[in-house]
Amino acid sequence: MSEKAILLVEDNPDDELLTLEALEANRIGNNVIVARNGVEALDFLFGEGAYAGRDVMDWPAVVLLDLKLPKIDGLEVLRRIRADERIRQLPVVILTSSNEEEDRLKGYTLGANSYVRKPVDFDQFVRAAGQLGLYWLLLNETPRG
Amino acid sequence: MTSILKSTLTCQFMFRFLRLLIPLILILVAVLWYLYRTHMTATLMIMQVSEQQSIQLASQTVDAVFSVLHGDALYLAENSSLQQWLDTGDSISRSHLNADFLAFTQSRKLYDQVRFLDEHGQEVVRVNLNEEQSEVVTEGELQTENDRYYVENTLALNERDVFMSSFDLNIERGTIEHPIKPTIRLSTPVFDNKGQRRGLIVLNYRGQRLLNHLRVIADKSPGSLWLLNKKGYWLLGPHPNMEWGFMYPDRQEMRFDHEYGETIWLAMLNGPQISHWLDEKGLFTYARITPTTSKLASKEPENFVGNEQWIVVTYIPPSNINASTIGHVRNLINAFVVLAPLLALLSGIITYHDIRRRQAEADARSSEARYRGLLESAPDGIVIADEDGHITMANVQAEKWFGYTQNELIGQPIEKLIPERFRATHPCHRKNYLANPVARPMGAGLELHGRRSDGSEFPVEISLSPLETNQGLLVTSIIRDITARKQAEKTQEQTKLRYEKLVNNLPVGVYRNKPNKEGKFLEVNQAMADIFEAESIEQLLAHPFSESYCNPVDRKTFIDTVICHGHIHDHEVLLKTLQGREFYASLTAVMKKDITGEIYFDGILQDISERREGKRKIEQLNENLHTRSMKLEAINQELEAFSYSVSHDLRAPLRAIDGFSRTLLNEYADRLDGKGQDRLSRIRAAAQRMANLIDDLLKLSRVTRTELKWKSVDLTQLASEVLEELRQDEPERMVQFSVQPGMIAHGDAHLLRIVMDNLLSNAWKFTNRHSDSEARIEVGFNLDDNLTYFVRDNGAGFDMAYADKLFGAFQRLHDNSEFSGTGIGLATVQRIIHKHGGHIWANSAVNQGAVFYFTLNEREIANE
Repeated sequence: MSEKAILLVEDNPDDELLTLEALEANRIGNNVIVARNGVEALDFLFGEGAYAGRDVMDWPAVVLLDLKLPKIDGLEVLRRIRADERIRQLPVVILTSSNEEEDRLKGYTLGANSYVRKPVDFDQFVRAAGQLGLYWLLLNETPRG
Repeated sequence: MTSILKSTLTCQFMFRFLRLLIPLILILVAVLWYLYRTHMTATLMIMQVSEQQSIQLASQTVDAVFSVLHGDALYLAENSSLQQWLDTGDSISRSHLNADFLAFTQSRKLYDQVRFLDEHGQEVVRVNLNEEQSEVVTEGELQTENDRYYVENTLALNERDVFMSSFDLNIERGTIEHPIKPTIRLSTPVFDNKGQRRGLIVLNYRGQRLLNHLRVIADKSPGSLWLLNKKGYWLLGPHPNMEWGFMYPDRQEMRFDHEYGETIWLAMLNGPQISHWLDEKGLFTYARITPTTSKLASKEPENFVGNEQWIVVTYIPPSNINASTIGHVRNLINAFVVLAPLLALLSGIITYHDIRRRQAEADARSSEARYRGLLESAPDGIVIADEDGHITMANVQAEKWFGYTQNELIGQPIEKLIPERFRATHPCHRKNYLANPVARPMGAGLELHGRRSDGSEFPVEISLSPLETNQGLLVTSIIRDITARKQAEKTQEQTKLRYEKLVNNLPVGVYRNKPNKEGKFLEVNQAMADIFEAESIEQLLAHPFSESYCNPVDRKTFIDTVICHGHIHDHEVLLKTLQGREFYASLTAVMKKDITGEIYFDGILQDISERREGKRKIEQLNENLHTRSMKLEAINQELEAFSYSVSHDLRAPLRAIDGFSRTLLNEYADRLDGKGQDRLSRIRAAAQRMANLIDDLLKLSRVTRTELKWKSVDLTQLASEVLEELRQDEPERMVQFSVQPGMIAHGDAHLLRIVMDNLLSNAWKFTNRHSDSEARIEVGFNLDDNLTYFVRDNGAGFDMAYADKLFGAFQRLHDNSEFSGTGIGLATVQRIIHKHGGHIWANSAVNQGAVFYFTLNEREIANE
């Protein structure tokens, strides 16, 4: 397993816990950093605010991004990631409850690498998280390696 | 215009003038040329004859000379002294011989030398003639000439033959003697009495004498006279330097053939003995003469031996020939110079008169044609009658109107064209007119009528004009058929009435007024009187329009606009009736000018009070509608937000419930008994069911919100795709499908896909009780009244008693334990079908399968 961290952007503590459990159930042992809103996520990525001094080029393996977030919503976070030269290539997976076509379309338009709907059935969620981990942590070599 | 005419005339004149002049000039030239040719021929003929005479004279002269020479030679050969000397050989006879020869030479003066040589070539007697004085050469000076050619030649001759040497120049001691001495040597053998050949006589003839004779002849001839030897060298030539060319090494080229050409020379040598030759070098007349053969003068045979042959030629150079014709040519040119202008003058005069004549003829013709054309093209009938009232002329129009031919009219009384009832009095009218014949213009009189050949009458106008001619007074009647005019007047009257009626019956006010201070109406229709509540039109006409304005400023604005733009359209203004009631009126008007240039307005006026009220109500309704639509919009937005929130937030707690239940089941299973585990499982199932319900509800709401994207949709393909997916989900089932091909519908592809998804997955679901071989799903369409699509299965079916609940949300006709489902699918389907302007219904019986029918775009199809 890669030593790189996973950035989970999620405001709902239940979903946070479920996601962590789902990752754990798949034996994905990467360090998971949780940002509870868009601002916190951006601070982490750009080494600002609470994360001042963090090396921007030290990318997480993948960003699991919820859409409905306080302060700055997920689509805006995605837009800013794609607008920044340094982390433009960062893999971002939208992980959300929404099944709105519009959200899905906007997510892909802004350059999401994947769009995963959080299923209510926890077994399905575990399967989806497993597939995510397999793909983004094992198979997909990020351009920065 | 004039200049064009003038230039045309000039061109015509030049053309005719040249057409006449050029042939005349050509004839003149031809005549003069003929005269010239004739003269030339005659001149040449005369020259030829004259030259021929010279040639003949020259030939005769030569003959005469040689006759004498021949005689002299023979005389000396038979001289008695010579014969005696031959007999005796003594000195006395020798001296006699000398004396005889001397006397002969002296008297003849023809010969430079007279000699007798013995048969050995030894000179015996020799007499020389020097400076007109002859002398006998002494015996000591006598020479032997036996090696000379003529000695041998002569001694070979018979008696009385004479040998003649060629004509050349005398050579003394190897050089040509000067001054030149042309010489011919004649010799004849001498025989004694016994017939023995004893010697020869040799005479050196002075050729100059012969040449002098010929010169004398030449002097009398117009041309030069030449003598040529047979080699072509001149013996007597154009110039002394050209003569005797064969004697001088530097004059070898001075030959006739060299000067005048080989052709003529060969003709002279080989052609007729006497002839002439004319070429560009001149006229040559010649004769070949041979002293040995030409015996023109004497019949006696005179035998000359030798090959001497001469050609006598007279030559007239071209300049001389031309000189003799030049005078004539000058005369001919003079004749041409005089005659050509005379011919030109003559042609000019003839052409001028010819053109004048043609012009006059053309004028006469065109004048007559104009007159006739005028008469015939006149739109009026023209009839000319004489004093007695007899028709002398009628034009085509008159023929047409009265229905007679020209022949039927000429000579007939004019009364023929008048209705019977006026005929009796007409001669009287005529008489009165003739008593005072003045031109009477058209229309100056009563209404007149003409009578056609079929007896019908037609209204006419007639003008009369007298014309004094040498055949007496003629009266020209110009007759105009005014039927059409009368008809037109009537039609116009009717039209006017019709329009008046139309205007008066119009429900809108029509008026005409002037934009002056009072603005009184000039014309109004009945509607105007009604609108203004006037008792009569007259009352309204008397009322100043300016007083009808509630606000006088409105009138000023109105007038200014019309004058500025020329018209106004739907101008709204508040007016009041004659009774003082206020009302809103709409004015439409145009500005016009009468013939004096004064401005007036034509307009229509409508009472729009009701219309304004209606408009106000509509505006109010629109406003209400707008408010409601705004509210709806707000509600819609709220609904959007609600849906979004449901989609997002409502699911999160469910996920927590399900997820943590699962965690409990996984991690705390050992601490939960069977019942606890069952309850947790039920919690999870309920949470998932709730999630499905939310999803379906969202779908339904999305369908409601979605705008249709109309396009052509292949339902056949859509159904096939859905069925294929279903089969892939449950590959163990073997359901029979049948999808009718060619189902092309018009609608929203995404929504129609949801319809097919729901209907087919229902069919799929409700057929699962069958053994696979029996399960069958059909998709197709009917074309009974409307185009109706259907999805048929042979599954569980339903009781038609509950058919009305089929399409309600959350309505289920089967237990969940039998068939799972949320009860929202068919509600969604119905909503989509309704959105497409169609209907959906079902037909079924329990365990008999079900058929779902639906239509799309019913309104559109009905309209087609």
